[in-house]
Amino acid sequence: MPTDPTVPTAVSGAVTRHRISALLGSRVLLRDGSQAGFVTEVRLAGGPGLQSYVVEGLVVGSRVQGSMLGYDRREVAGPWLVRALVRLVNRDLSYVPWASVSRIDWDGHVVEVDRVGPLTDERALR
Amino acid sequence: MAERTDQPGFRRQYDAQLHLLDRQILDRDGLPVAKVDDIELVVRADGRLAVAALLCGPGALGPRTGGRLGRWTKAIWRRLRPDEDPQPGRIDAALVTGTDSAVHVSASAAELRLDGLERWVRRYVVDRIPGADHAD
Repeated sequence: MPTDPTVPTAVSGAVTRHRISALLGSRVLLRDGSQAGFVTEVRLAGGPGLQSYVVEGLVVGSRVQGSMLGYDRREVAGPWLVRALVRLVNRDLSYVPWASVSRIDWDGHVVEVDRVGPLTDERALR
Repeated sequence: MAERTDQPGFRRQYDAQLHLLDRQILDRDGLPVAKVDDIELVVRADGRLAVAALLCGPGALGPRTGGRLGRWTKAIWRRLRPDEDPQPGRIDAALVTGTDSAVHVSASAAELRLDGLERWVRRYVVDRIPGADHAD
């Protein structure tokens, strides 16, 4: 796990604060400088209580995109054509677990990662 | 308000955009407070990014929107705020009691004293239109 992958943008006392919107849309770069995509989603896990949730990983896509309207989830039913189109648009999603995040440049909107893996959970396109 | 049959709880995982951003925040009485316009993260001692608060209102939505519209939103909001360095509305994450289609908090809307976009527009735009006091 990285010791401190963040570059402070707002420091209040001893606490460094960021906005999740600064992470969404950030460019994702591999260590060799090649571009892996953009942060399209921030996954949180933990609890109990929202204050105990931490960033577990980042969903990365080849383009900056907004909500997928829930069609990327298995339990969401809907017109098959819409579902097929959303799947087509999002066929290249991948996942970066937090442990693979080596550095975040909050002001430059760049996330440097060690590796990008497949998205294998319910959000994966099947 | 209709009595709730299923209490909101917490998911094992949240995808911030899908499950939290733009969701309606309801107070302890089920009254709408604001929308989740952004989420504040805090860097913990172990380097992990933890959820600290929900941010609401033009001061949060403007920077998130970005571009000219976002800059204008924030600039107008700052102009109309009496404080020199206004901060967006903030709901501490510890006040969140659970989520379903909305985000539920344990405080009342009055206690939170938030500056949600709808509340802000009503106060600074709609209420200043001549005849607005007859709307009720």
